[in-house]
Parts: sequence; C-alpha cells; structure tokens
Amino acid sequence: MTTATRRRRATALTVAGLAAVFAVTPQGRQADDRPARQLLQEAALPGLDRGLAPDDGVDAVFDRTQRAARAVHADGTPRGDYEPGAVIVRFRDDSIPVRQEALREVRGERLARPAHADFEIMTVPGGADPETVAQALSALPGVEYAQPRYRQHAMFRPNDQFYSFQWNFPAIDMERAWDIQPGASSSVVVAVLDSGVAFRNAVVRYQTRPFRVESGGPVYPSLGTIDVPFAAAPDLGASTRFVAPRDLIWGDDLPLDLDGHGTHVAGTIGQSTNNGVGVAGMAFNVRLMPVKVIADVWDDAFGNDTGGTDDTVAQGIRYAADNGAHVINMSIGRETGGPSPVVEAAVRYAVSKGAFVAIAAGNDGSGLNRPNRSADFATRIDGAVAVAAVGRGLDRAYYSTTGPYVELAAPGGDSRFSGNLREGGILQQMVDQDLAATWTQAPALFRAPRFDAFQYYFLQGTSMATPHVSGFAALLRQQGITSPSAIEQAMVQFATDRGPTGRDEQLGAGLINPRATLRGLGLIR
Amino acid sequence: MRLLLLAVSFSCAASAALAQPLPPAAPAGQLHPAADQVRPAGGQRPAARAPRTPRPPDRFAVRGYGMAGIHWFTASQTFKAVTGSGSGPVYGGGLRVHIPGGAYVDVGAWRYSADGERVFVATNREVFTLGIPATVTVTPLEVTAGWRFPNLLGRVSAHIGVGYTSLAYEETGDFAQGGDDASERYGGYHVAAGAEVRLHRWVGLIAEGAFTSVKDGFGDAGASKAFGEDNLGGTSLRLKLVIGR
Repeated sequence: MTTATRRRRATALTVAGLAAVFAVTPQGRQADDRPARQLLQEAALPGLDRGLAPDDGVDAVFDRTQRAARAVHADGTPRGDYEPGAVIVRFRDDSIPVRQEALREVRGERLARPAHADFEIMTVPGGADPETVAQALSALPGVEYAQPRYRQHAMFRPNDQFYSFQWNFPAIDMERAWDIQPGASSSVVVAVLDSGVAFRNAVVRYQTRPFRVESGGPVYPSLGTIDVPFAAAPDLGASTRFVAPRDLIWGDDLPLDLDGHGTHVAGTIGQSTNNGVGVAGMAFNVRLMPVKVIADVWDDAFGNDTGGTDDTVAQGIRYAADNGAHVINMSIGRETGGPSPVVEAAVRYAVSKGAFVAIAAGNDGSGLNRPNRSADFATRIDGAVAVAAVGRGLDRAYYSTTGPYVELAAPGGDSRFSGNLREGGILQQMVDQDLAATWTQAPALFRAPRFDAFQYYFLQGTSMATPHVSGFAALLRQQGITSPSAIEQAMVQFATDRGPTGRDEQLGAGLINPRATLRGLGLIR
Repeated sequence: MRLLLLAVSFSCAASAALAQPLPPAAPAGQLHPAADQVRPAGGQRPAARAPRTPRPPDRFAVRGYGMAGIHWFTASQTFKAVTGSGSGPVYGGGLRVHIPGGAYVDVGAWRYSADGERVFVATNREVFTLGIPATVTVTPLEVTAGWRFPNLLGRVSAHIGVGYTSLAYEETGDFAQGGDDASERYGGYHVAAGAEVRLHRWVGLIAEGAFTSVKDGFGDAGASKAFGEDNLGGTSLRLKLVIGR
C-alpha cells in the first residue's frame, strides 16, 4: 500500500469519524420510494478479523508501563492508596531491644503479629505518612523490610488483545467500575441509532448507480448489479446479543452498516470483553438494538436517497423506545438549520417510556461551534444528556462543540494530544475500510465493496464519547437506578469537574465517573 | 420487634410495681416498725398514725448496669434509605455513681449496628438501592450528670440528667478503597430522664428516655446530605439492669 493511499485512507477515516455524526441530510424520500435490495443469503462466511488497522505513519506503540504510570483516578488523584496509621514490618532480629528501637525511631505505638504471618503490624500515629515511616524503619539494621499497608482489591482488567490501547477505560476508572458492575446483563437493551451495525452475516444484492463522494469530486461509475457480502463483527459477539434490528433508511430489518461508524460506536457500548480477542466495551453483557437512521456513501451509491432526516431519526427513537430499549445512543446529529422539535419530542417520548438518551454534543468546536440540533434541547429533558468529548489528557477535545446544552463529558479521543490518533483515538472494531470504502482509493481502483472483514480503528469525535455514557447508563440501570432522570442525576452528581470550575459550557458537569456513581452513597460517604 | 416487646414487658412490670407497691424493705439491722405494734382487739381508739418509713441512708455508691433499648434516629430518612429502618435496637452498659445529696454521674456506652446497602438518592428523594452491602455502626459514649429523686413512690425513684456525647461512627461497604469507608468521632449532647424501681437489694431496673443531638459534621456528604439531615442523634428508650446498692 502506498503512502499516498494510506494518507487518503487515514484522511477518509478521520473525516468519517468526525463527519458521520452529521450525516443527516435534509433531503429524503418516502419509505415506499426506496430502491429495492434483495437479501440473497441469510448466512455467509463468518467475518474476518484482520487485527489492528495498519499504523498511520506512527511507529510508537504506546507503552503499557507508560500507561500505568499515567493511570489516575477519575478525580485526578494518583493511585496507590494505603491504610493510614500502620505499617507492615518484619524484623531480622526479634529481640525486644530491636523492636523497642524501631518503635522509638518512628514513634510507633505498638506491634502486633497477625495470624498466618511472619511479619508484624506496627501502629503509628494517624498523622504519620506510612511511606516515610516504612522508609525510616527499613533503614534500621534489625529490620528486614517495612512497607505501608497498600490496599489490594480485585481489579477486573480485560484480557482483550488490544486493551492496552484503550486508554479511555482506565481514564474513567472503568477497571474499578467493572469490579462493582461487570458489564451489566442481557436484561438491559441499548439501542444504537446510527449507520447500522455489523450484526449479522448475509449476502445482499444491490443495484448501483454512479455517484460522487464530494461536490466537484470524481464520479464513481455504476458497478451494475452486485452481490455484497456482510458479516457480523467478530468481536461484537453472538447474534443473540442483537434484538429488534430496524433499518429506517431501507425500510426493513436489515440495519447493515455500510460505513463502520455504527459498529465502532456499538463496540464502545458493548464489545465482547475479556474474551482474549480484540478490544473491550463498557457494558459488555447488554443486548444491542441496531437501528439504522443515517446513510452513507454506499447507501447513496446503491440508489437510496433517504439520507437520514430529522423525521427518520425521530422515527428511530420512537421505534427503539417502543421496542424495549432502556438506553438510546445517538452519536448522530446535524449542525445546520434550526431547532429540531420533532427529534426533541421523540426524545421526550423515549424518556417517558423509561429510556435514557445520550446524544453527541457535536464536533464543531474548532469551527463555527454550531450546536448539534439533535442535542441542544437535552438540558430541557431529565433523562437525556448531551455529551462532550475529552482527549487523553482529560481536557476538552479540540473539536468538541461547546455550549450551555453540554451536560457531561466522556473520552472521545483527541489526535492533538500526542499528535496522532493512534495514541489519542478511541479504538474499536469496524469494517475493514480497505475493502469497504473502496471509493477512498483512486477511481481506477474503485470496485465493489465487501463488509465481511474487520479491523480495529482509532477514531475521534463526540460520536466516540457518547457510547461511553450510554454504556455507563446501562451499567447504572443494571445496578438499580432505573429511572432515566435519576440516571442523569447520578451521572451529573458524581461527575469529576474538569475545565473551568463548576458546571461549564465545555464539559458540562464534568467527566463521567462510573466507579463512584455505581458505588453510590452511604450515610456520610 | 422482639426487643420492643421485651422493652414493653419490662415497662409493664415496672408499671405494675408502681401500681401495687410492696412494703419497703427494712434496712439491715432494723425491725420493721409495723412488727412492733400490737393492736388491742375490738378497741375503738382513734387509728394510730403510721410511723414514717425511714429513708435508706444516702451514701456514695457505684453501680454497674447493662442496657438494652431502641433508638430512633433523627436522621430517619438517611438511616431508612441505607439500612431499611430509621430505628433499631441498641445495647450497652456503664457505671452510675450516686453522690450523697442526690446528684449522680453516669458514664455509659451503647452500640447500634445495622447492615444495609448503598443507595442513590434522586432529587425527588426517591431512593435507588444499589445492591452493594454496607454496614453502619454507631457507638456513643455518654457522660451524664444529673439529679436523683429517691423513693419518690415507694421503691421507685426518678432522675434527670444532661451530658456530653462522644459518638464513634463507622461506615463500611463493599468495594471500598482509600477514604471510601468512614471512621469518625463526633461530639454532641444529650438529656435523659427516667425512673428506677428496686427489684432487690442489689438489683434495680431503670427505664430511661434520652434525646441525643450530634450535629458535628454529619450531613456533609452521602445520603445524609441528599436528605438534608445533619443530626446523627435521636431519641432512645432504654432499660438498664442495675447491679449495686
């Protein structure tokens, strides 16, 4: 693959990640005008997992030790807590004078040997720093070792192959959150309103037509009638995970992802986790409801002009709510035009039916900063939130739209954090862009796509931040907070304030803090 | 509930004792005055006035007691949210020192402990339980000074007192890490009033009501903040089995 091709593909991916959020187009046709497509085979060969997408010119693989060193709690405090008021000490010489000297040296109060131990616990004044005390004790000749009583705990750290690239989960303390709530369960349904999801195998026959990717760009010729293979994304799990799929672009129950955006988003919500394969997701046991409400290049090339309008999105929201979705993820929107009362009404309807709705705040922060019209009403609805994005430094991502409607923030990636997406992006599996987005290559190389091979891609956008919140909502619902408004309140109450102090237009109440929220309240803590 | 029944039955016993007072026990070494009197049969003399029962000497005494009772927390919504009840049984013990002249000093401690689960409290005060086990333990140390009113009704005496409460508060929960659990000590005050009935020369039973106020830091966070409850005290009814003269 040439460097130029790689650059084109990288550019296309970035554009897809950023712009797919705003893929809703103003023109549309009635459902009965939709072109026909034919499902040829219910089954096809299983999807091919082609691993991590090739490096976009960046060789540095993020070092695990570096990541561990940067790991912080969501509130920014470093890890490594220990019990105050005591240290562990083992004496070389158990004689009384040695022990008395040790007590004197650090103003220790008493020594006690616990059961099943060859060491002792020295009680020290509560204000003493155990690490300093341990250092002082270790320097004594009669002491073999001394150390603080570091707290140990179960820590669920997924064993997925590329988990070490997923900085976004440790950044919001997910490992400790998963200790409390390991991935929710199949009783929770999360609807993904997007470009579809690679949720099943199939071969579909399409009629193609000439198309342009961008105004003034080259015209890609018709490919005639083609049979396109689709496969379920291997890391999303069994087909039983998917419930009530619906395609409001094609008007059937085949919400196949012709882009990759929806599959990436679905992965962050519920990617199969701790299976030794691929990457992890937030709520990895939930069931997913793929609802296709936006279209992409191939939908257009296959003759469908239903680009995904406000009414399509509203239909999708109502469909999800009526079909049992507990959480609705909307990594979609538009920044042009006026308000969208039809989408607002649909979101109100969904919340009234018990669904929590997470909506991308928008990616126009480095441009005109126009609000996402599918999110700018969120503050008026308890149970719906507009989600901003932070990068790896946990500051607002450069592209994340700001405004009074922003309520929460989550990791969405930021290529400017370290100069490239590979370190700053959100990693998930999606359809192999080399084989699917054949229009990113020169017209001479243009060919029929296939959607049965997958790779792992780093993307950025509030599209990527929003599924963190949706997955988080699913975990909260499983934990016992069933009301959408209470879910929003809990997220806001426990959010870690970032950016300007207090609630602000950049990150709202702050960065989500799943661990603290899931653990909830005691009487005084 | 069992404890409540126990408390009620003890209270009934105490009430019965009040309704039908037994003759006061004679002090050691003294004959009962009634035993010395011989009444002539059929005589029509005006009834002789019964001699006064001599009070036992008011002397310095140290008495130990065990205590059981029920405590209703002022922060009832907070406790109900986490433990399922705004009240609960308490157990304890202490020492009571009688000072000649009627004063007394009582040093006692009791303990309340309950298991529950951590919660989220919505702004409308709806409580969502999260299934994460939590345990709360309240151990007040009470130093009380007061006044006794001995032999108010036969063998029944009364007391009132006021004092300082030093309350140890512990809260633990699953998945806790540094700073998540709480171990605090708060200060407050209490007032107490009660009555004692002597069941035996060495045994007495005190029924006591007390009100405790502890507003030292409670309510700054957690469910107590969500409910706006800032007092860790409450009202308790206790029965104290006293050993000592």
